[in-house]
Amino acid sequence: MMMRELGKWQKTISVSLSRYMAFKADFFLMLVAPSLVFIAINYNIWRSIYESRGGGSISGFTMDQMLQYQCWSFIVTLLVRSHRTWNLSEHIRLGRMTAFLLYPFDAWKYYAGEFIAFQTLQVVTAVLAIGVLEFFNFLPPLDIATCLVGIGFSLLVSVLWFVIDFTFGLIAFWLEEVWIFRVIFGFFAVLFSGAFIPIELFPRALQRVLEYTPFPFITSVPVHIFLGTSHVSLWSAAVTLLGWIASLSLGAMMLWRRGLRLYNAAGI
Amino acid sequence: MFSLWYPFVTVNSPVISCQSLTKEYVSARKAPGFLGTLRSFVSPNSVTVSAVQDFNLEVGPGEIVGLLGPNGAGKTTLIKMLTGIVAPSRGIARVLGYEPFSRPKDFRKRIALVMGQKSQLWLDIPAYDSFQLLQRYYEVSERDFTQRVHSLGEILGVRHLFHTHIRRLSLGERMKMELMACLLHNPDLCFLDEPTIGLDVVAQKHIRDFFKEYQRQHKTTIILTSHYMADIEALCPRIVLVLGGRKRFDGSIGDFERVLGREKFVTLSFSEPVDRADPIWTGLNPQWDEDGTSVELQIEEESLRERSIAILSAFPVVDYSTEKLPIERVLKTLLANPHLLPG
Repeated sequence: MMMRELGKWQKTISVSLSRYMAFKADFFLMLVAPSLVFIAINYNIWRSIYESRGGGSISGFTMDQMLQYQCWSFIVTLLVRSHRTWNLSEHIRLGRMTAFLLYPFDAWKYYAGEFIAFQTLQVVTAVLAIGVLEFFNFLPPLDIATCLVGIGFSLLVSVLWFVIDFTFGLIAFWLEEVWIFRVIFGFFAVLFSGAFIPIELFPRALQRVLEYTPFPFITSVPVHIFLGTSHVSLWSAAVTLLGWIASLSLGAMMLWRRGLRLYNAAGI
Repeated sequence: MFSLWYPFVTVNSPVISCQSLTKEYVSARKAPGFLGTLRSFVSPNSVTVSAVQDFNLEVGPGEIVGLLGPNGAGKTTLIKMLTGIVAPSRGIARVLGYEPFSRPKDFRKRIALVMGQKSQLWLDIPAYDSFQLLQRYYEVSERDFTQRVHSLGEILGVRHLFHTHIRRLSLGERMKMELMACLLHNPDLCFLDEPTIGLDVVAQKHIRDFFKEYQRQHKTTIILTSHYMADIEALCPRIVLVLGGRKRFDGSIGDFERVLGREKFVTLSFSEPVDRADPIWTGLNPQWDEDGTSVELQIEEESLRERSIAILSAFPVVDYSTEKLPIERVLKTLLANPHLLPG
């Protein structure tokens, strides 16, 4: 029984991998290129800021530390935020979800399988990116153990991102266009996760508020793990993260059940 | 909504049974133009539309039932409810002993839906990869999978295309792959929603013949909707006519053909133009060709012999043929005059 279920997951993942690999140029342009553009912009903005100030530090970050922060932020973004379940809302809206409702393999498992396949490719991409950044001295000599812990934690965060993205996709049961919610959330995620400006640079009150949201986990916490400057224990961070994943999954499950009653399988 | 009498199905239990099955949609209404858009934004107006209403149906094991009706009649909505894709608003449905919308895994393993207008295969990968994925999903043994893939591929003539990406196949080839994908797990119940739509006549016939043979071998229960009467005539001994979301006819194809009366279509050709005003044609609804050398008549079965003899002796007939009222014409007449339907 267990083996059969595993076989379904394994085949879903391998088919998804084939599909991603079938369009190498699309894969690069859609998923790696935006992160590359983002790091290039961030890197140069921060470099200009420090150079215009004539060096020094900002909230404890020297220029080198800030540039390293931005490099790791790029790696974390690759690992955490690259996968988009954009097709979920489209599947609901255009009725393509129908096929997934008929297969004796639940729809969420199919999307999760796609996500795992994608993350597999992203880990390879991220490792290559770390190698390149290291080779060109954008990063200091690496501690492999810290790096592995950072990648592991980032992958856990990617599950959180997947659940959030999946939940947004489910809104398509109620609304025709859900992209605006994704854009708004994406904007807040970039701003409050520390992807562009480290959270340490925010006012204290805002930092305290953010501690009660999942935002810091999306970039700031994993980046500090890579940098070796994390102030929170890895275990408590992991437990809190799992708590967020569990509660958001519960919410997604409720949305799924309610939404399914509204599904009209348009187009057939 | 969970079933208490769960899947305790005996051999004689109906495969499909539904009582008062109803599906209502809330549909937004908007007046045309910019003002209408503005008005509907400030005060949205919506109406409840019944796509399917108080539908009762029983289908036994191994039956092939043709669902007939114009676009928007509710046929596809009915299929969506019976496959568990869409939740019914009211009523009870049992399919293979399960309540469809609860979609238990065992239920999903025993049904198949072919949608002529929607691909269920993955376009970016070859068909064989999709089949392998479905093999895992439906837990088909390696032996059965190999045997079915090869035999279905052989019958449908698509074995040489197994390793071609689906998006590169023609519509007919893709449809054959869809059929294969749906039959790999040997379903007990198969819903075919417009399986021949958009195909040329040769491909349509190929798929009809395939299903005829497949059903004969496997005794699969089939529910078919099609706008091509040839599909219905070739495959369905039983017809259910759906109009405005309601069942308006349920019976054999023979009974359906006789709904409008026991009339025969008689076509006559003459060696020279004949008198169209002759009283012999009265009451036979003659449809003449332009030069008056050919006519199509509708003659009551009871008086066919007597009236045919009269015509044959009065006019220089060179050809005579008779057929019953074509099902397509019965349907067209009924759609235009639903009051002619019994009940």
